[in-house]
Amino acid sequence: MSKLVYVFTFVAFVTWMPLGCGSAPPEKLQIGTNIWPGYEPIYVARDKGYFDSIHIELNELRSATQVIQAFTGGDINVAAVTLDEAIRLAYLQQDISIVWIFNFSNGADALVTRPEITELSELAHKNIGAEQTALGQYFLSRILEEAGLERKELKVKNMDISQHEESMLKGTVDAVITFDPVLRSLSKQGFKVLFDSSDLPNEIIDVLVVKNHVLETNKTQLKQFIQGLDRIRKDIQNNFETHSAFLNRRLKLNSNEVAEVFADLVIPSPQQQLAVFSKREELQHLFERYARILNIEDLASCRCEQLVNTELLEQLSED
Amino acid sequence: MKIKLTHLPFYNAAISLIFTLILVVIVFELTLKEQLVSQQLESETAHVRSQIYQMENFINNDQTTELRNLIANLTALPIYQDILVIREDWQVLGSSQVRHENLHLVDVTPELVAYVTQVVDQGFTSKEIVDGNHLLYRIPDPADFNKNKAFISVTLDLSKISDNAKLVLTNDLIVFSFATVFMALVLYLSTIKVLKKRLRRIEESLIDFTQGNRVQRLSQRHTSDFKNLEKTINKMLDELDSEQRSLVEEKDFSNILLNSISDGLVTTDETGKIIVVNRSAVAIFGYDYEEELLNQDIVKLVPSEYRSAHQKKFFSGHSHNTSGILNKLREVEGIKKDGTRVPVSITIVQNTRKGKVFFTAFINDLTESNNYRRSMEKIAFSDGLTELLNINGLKRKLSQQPLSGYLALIELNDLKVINEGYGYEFGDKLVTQFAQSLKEMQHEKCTIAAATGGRFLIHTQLPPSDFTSKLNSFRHKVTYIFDLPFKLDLKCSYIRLNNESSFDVQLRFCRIALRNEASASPDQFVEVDVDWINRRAYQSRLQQRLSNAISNEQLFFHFQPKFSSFSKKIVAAEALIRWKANDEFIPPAKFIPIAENSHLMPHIDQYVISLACRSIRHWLDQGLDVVPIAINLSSKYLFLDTTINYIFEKVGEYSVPPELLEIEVTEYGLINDFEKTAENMQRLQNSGLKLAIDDYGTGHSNLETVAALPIQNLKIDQAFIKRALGSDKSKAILENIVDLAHALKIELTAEGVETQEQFDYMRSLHCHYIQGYLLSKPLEESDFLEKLREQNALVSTG
Repeated sequence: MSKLVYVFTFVAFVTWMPLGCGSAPPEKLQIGTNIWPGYEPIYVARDKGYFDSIHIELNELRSATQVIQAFTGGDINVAAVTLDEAIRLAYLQQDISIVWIFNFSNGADALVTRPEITELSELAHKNIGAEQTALGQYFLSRILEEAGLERKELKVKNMDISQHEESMLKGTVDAVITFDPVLRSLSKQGFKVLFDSSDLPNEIIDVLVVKNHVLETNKTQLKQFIQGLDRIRKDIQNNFETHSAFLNRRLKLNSNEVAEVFADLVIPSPQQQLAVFSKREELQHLFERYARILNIEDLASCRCEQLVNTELLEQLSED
Repeated sequence: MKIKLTHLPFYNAAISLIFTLILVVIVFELTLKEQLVSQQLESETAHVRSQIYQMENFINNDQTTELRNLIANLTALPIYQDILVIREDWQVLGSSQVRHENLHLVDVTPELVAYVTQVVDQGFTSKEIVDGNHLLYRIPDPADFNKNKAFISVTLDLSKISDNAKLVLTNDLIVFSFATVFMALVLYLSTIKVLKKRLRRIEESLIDFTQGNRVQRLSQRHTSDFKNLEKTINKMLDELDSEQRSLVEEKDFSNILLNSISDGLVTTDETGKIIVVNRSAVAIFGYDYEEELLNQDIVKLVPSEYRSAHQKKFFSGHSHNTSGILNKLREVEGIKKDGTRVPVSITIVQNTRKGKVFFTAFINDLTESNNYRRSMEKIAFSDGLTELLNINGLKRKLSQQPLSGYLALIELNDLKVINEGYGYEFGDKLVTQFAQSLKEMQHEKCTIAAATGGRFLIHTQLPPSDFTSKLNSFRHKVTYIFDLPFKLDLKCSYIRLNNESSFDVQLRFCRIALRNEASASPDQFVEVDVDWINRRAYQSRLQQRLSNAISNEQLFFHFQPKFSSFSKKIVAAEALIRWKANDEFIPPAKFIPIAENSHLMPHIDQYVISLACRSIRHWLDQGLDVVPIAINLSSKYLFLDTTINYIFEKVGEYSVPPELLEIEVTEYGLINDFEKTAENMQRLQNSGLKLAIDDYGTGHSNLETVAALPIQNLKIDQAFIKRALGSDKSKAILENIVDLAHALKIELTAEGVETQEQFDYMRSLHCHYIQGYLLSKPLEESDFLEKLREQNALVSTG
């Protein structure tokens, strides 16, 4: 009988071996972003060959919605998203972690109105275009708070960022909650910025989220990716001028606008990021506010402890 | 006994089966992979195509934003490596890389410019071309896109499909293999369980059987897979059982057999100790119970003078010097219980059982059969009436040594008469009394034996004169039988015995001599003339051969021409019968008398008649100028109607002109029924046949007698002619006869004319025809015909 057992053990080993080996290779990093100045350093880093040694795939999506769809649909496993989107993904059972902060919006997100609207209060009974994103809604709620208006007093139209400029030009809406580069484009054409993210410091954050199993299986490459991000951050900070054209490749702004756009962004160093993440109470409060906006009642999914993974940042700051 | 399943043949079979299954699955999956890849490629291509149509739509409707969104969405899918929408003016309208948009294609991918240019130059009118991973799509007639055409370039990463298929297949394979192994294991273990249970049942039953439970059988379940095995085992057990039973029955039967056979049977071991004895053997040796002999030494049954030899042959140590004794029927004597001897026939066989040698003797009591043999011998070798030896007895006695002395065969005369006249008891009495007389001779170197029918044989070393005188003394003696006087007489033939012929042959010679010569002898005593007997025998054989020769038509004719005494021309011929047997020419003088002394003559006559008629017909058919042919017929048969009728029949059958057939009557001196013969000859003559008297002058008949017969020709014998030329008296007689013949108008033929003198003389007597060696000897048929032809030729030319 013992011979028999050996035979079956061998057979089982042989048949299960491919499965074991199949799980071993790290999952390729498939990174998706929409077009946002805060994310552009990724593409500059790519063009500069900082990611040549790692196997990544950059998917250039057009909107946050596309990114969310790709992420939830499994086409990408790493995404550059706004914090509200990160919270929503976490809530949608996406087992994710926030590992990197691209930027804090310091005016890059704004409420752009037709020139005749000068006060927030004038927004009452006006048509406002906004993305059906948490950020859009968060921004809207913060505007309502500032303006002292009720939600129902506004006519909010859901529209994608790609429609913002057109809608404003056609006059189908009176105001849009938008962001660069549309923001820059509209303000150039005489539209007025009535409220922007500089009014909400450290509230509008763009982060890098990663699916947890990728974090576990492909930590090395992820770390290299973040190292690339940090490296390009330093490059840009040290010499913005030389990188300006690169940063504009996708944004397609006038060259003089590029600096302005980036002036609206605060790009934190790893240490600064760790500092933000370490203020757990504030962060948790912010998370919960977003959650409320998103009508998330179960707040357990957006616990800082779960959502934020500072391991890579810590390693980076130690190096 | 523990059954170890790894030793069962199906164990290896099961393992092989599992591996084979896995192998089959792998092979199957590998072939499936190709199919899967192509299928997936097909579906992916279809998807790509539908997306391109969507893009085409957006381009035609000037929906740049939607176009770019679509491209972005598609780019996130693994299969799309790169998507470029290029306007006719080489500006990038949409790209998977945002930075390329609104740039000139040269600044993005110059190679693509070259490629598209080349393709367009080659007359690219179709909507798409696929080149490796690259798919170029041309929008041929954009409806509303600045009146410019556009190209869509899609680069696909097909390796994803292959990887994908591989992954699917690998997973399939793993699941499949695992399931197979698991199922096989489960099947294997459950089979083992069932198998063990059933085998244990069989094992228990078999152990039970071997421990003596003979009626034990496996319970057969019709549903069981083992039912055939169970059936076979049960059958085997049945056979074992019945074998056992038949062994017991056989033993009983052999006991019965042993005691029921009349042969005595004694078996000893190799020391000579009796271990088996049957009742017959006990009875033969005069004992009452088997136990009296069992475990006794066999030597007890052997006469004392043979004991030491017996022991030496059979029971001296390990070597049994039994050659020439075993398996042979021998007659020996045995010692009975009371010490008397019993004659027995004995056959000893040796057999070996379990390495030990046994001897078995089959014994028959010969006491009775010896008595019987003696009585049979008496019947076989002695004469019941006279108590003398019979012929067989004498033969047996004489067979001991070479034949010598004399053998005499004696026959009582008139015994037949006495038997018929007075009855057999008288005859027997006479024979007995004569036998008594003969017994007086026994002491004189004579052996007397009785044969049947009042015949006696004497074998003696005495000279013939001695025993014939003794026998003669018995003759004419008056003897009284039942008070009636009888005169005894006898005849005798005797032979000097030799060793060239057997006793039987020489006795036969005696019998022949006694029958044929003794009666003729004056004293009725005759010594056998062996030459005479041999001659008789030769003639008998010749007669037999002649009979065959007639049947087989081996007799033939020679023809002796008859010439005209004046013209010397052949005018007729005499057909002379000849016989040649195996190149031996047998002259008529030799075989005709044999034929005449037997029943064969009429057959020869018929043969001659038939052959002559057939020959004449044959010659006529050949167109020959045939002369009359004479045949010889014995007058002895001429009075028979059958002979005459046969002549007519043959003449008719062959349509022989009657004048061509002449019948020469021989032995006319022997005519008995003269009238009848004459009448028949007349009938022949009336039909036109010629009749002649042959060999006239040799017999005693006078011419008147002969002339009374209806004849046309008289053939005068050679001797007559010779005599006439030698003496005047004879000459006068001949001439007288010639004159008479002339007067009676009977033609004359001179036979056997050998000299010119004879010819001239006969011619002077006006003898019509001459026959003889002077003119021609008898000729073979061919020569005779040749001669005839020559003569005819001469006639026709002359």
